[in-house]
Amino acid sequence: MFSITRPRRLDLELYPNIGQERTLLALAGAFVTVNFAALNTVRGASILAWLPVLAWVAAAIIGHWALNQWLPRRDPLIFPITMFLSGWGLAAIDRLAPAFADRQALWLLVSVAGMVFSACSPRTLRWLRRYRYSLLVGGIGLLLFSIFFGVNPSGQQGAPTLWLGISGVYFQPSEVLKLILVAFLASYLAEQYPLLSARDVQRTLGGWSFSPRVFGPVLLMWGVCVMVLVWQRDLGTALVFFLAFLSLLYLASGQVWVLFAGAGLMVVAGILAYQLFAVVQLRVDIWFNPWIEAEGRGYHIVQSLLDFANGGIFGQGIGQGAPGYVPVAHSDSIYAALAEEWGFLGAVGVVCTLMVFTLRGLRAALAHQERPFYALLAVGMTTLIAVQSLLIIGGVLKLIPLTGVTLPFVSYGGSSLLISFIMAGLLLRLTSTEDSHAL
Amino acid sequence: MRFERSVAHLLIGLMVAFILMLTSALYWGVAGADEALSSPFNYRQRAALAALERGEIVDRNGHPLVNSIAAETDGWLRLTRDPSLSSITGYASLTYGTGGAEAAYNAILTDTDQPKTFTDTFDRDVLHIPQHGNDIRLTLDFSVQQAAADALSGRTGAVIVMDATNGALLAVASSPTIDPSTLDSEWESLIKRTDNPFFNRALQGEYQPGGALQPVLLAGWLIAGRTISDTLTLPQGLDSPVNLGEVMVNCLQSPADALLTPTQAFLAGCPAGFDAMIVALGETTTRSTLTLFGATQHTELTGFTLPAPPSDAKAIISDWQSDALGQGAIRLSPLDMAVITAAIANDGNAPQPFLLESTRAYGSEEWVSYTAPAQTTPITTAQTAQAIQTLMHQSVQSGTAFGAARTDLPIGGHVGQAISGQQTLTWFIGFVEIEPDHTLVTVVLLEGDSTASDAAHTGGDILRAAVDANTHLTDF
Repeated sequence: MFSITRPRRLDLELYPNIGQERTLLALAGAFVTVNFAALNTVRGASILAWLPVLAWVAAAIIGHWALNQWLPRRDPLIFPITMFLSGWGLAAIDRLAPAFADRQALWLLVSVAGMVFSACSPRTLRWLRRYRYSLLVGGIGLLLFSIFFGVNPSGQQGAPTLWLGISGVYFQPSEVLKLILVAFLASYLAEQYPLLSARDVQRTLGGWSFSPRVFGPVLLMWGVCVMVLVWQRDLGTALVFFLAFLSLLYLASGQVWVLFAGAGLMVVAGILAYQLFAVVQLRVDIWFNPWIEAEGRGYHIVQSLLDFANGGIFGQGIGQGAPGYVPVAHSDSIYAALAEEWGFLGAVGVVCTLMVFTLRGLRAALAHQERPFYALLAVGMTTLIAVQSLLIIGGVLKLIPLTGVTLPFVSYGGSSLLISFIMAGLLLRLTSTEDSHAL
Repeated sequence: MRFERSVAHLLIGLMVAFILMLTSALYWGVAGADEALSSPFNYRQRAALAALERGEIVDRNGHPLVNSIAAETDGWLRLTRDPSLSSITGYASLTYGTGGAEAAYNAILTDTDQPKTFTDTFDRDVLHIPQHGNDIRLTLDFSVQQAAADALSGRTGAVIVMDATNGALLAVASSPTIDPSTLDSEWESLIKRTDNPFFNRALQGEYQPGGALQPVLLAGWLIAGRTISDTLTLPQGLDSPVNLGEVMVNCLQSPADALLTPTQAFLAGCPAGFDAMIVALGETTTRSTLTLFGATQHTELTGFTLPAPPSDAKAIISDWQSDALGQGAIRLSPLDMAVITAAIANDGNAPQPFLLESTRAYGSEEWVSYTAPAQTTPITTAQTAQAIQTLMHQSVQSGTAFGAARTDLPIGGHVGQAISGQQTLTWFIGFVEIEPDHTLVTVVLLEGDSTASDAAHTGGDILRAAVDANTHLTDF
């Protein structure tokens, strides 16, 4: 399957990036180990409590080794960043919801395997491009399937049924759809790129292009987002889809009006959603002033903000704060929990790491300017992760209405972790300079 | 080139958004943290408070008044040992904060009164080692406090018992009051009550003193060189009512004989006699006497929020005759009145009241004195004070304070009434010498329609309890 089938001994002088990656992984490992040591000291846990750390170390070593073998000329930061964030998340999940830690550790191993596969197999990118319509139909099919047959792993009545489950294993089709949609749009827009970027088209009607080639995907995305919003009440995912799509369309067309039109559509959709859906109304109302209903509808945001206040600059220390007051602290609100126990410095650490990830992802896009599909795919995946991070971080900080999305690599959630790692793997693939002909 | 520019725009947009997130995190985590943490919805603060073992409060004999007991789940519960204590020890609620001595000495009880060493801070903030407050020993005497609270049971009023020699407060009772054990569950109904059980009448109340101010006026008379046997100019007799505008004040009882002397006026509680005395003394002398005895300013009690002192004492005494007769603008708390009474009982030396006697660090056996030896302030001569003491003894023997008389107890006292709006305020001020140069004083204030006799009886009972308790007294 892999284009380079013969593992080889690596010359670190030839591949200095590998040495950098190894150093960064060691630092990330030290961070994760120290945090687990502190946590296990606080709670007096048994030796079994170290299992997640062992899983993390195994994932880091195997991932690093496999990438060295099959993708030695890669970006040295992306893999350490993903491992650093997922290790931090693992420690936080073990602290907040210990029952889920082992499961998340297992998902980490699967996710790193998925990343290695997507990074090292040259066919993945080709498949994504060649079978984009099939993948899109399959993805939407899965989404429709989840609308009718979806469940919630908690079994709670009234909770969103966004998951499909088989034998106790659950995954969210919308997570898969994220990748498929980005790949589809990147592929579609890459095909339209010469036309979209042509000056004469841009000048049509004074710079406003009404080509169906542009509006086709716009309407498609609009439809998918509305479907997600209406049937699944998943405002966060709908927003992530749409913002990532807008970024791609802007890059493909170079038209600023695309952003304004997109923003206008979002406002219209927001107003309609506010009028039509109680969940949206709730989110917006409590966003404006959560304190007046601090023990009711505003409880989630108020407690999130108190996480930050209680954490101060240096935090309470792992296992020593009280982030449990925030609902789903191990999932959607994990950033607030991190802020309480690692303080403002921890909050800065997460955001700065995500900023570097974004920088490296967009850097990969710039390296493929002559190959629009790869460039747009890199931008799409990077933007997806960045926008999703911003939505949930902004939500718990009351900068925007709270949306139920995970913090990539950090939050609890197997399908989210897997897809995030697969996207990181594809980015690694796109940063590889060794066998660009194989792309 | 265009693509690069677009990517740059996108990158800048995303970076700005991330920085905005950090700015917001900085605000909530640092700049706005204090405001957020003070929110009543900060359950972490509540949990931290519950995890803190507040120090114990004991009385002067080491009898536990309030302490912390381990809760069934995590944390500690605060237990007030007797309902009679609540008006002075107050409450420490996780939901509603602190009141009374719990609030006044909160820093000591939570061990936040002293700057922390690096090790202490590290233990507390980094290692999160459970924290313990320090113990405090109050000057209160549990049995005296119980007697004071019992005496007020079912009535509205206040009682102070103080050691006149040094100002140590043996009892501070106010009624009605709250029950700390049911505070959280009954808070909403308590704050709506019109009789305001949170209000400490003994320390914070401001009441017209009425006839209770007569010993001060008598002192002014004696300081001016007059005697208690002088004949007063009273054309309409000693028992004639005094018209003070909207209020007409009378003797508390009929004078025993027809003599128009300060002694008779004092024993019968006749305002006409005192009105004649202040007219004879004049405004300036009367004012200076009131100021000398501290009737124009409030007494301080470290740690407690007491009525604010008037900014200009002279301005208060506008209708100086009404003020001097205790029916004007001068308003005193029972604590203020206790200091005045103590000055008389202590041969003219006014003590500074105090409640906190010593502190004990967590885990230590040693009590460390908290209050410096009390300094008394000379107000008048021993001769003047003793003359008033004599009259107060006579008042208990055969005057208005007769109800306070107790077998074998040399109680001196005086009763006064003030008409305040629709209700009558009845004061009893009294003292008892338990040994040479060691005197206890009490002040009883009853709101409503209590009689002079009620107040005197209450005062006598309380002084009896104070003397009995003093047989076990540990010297301060």
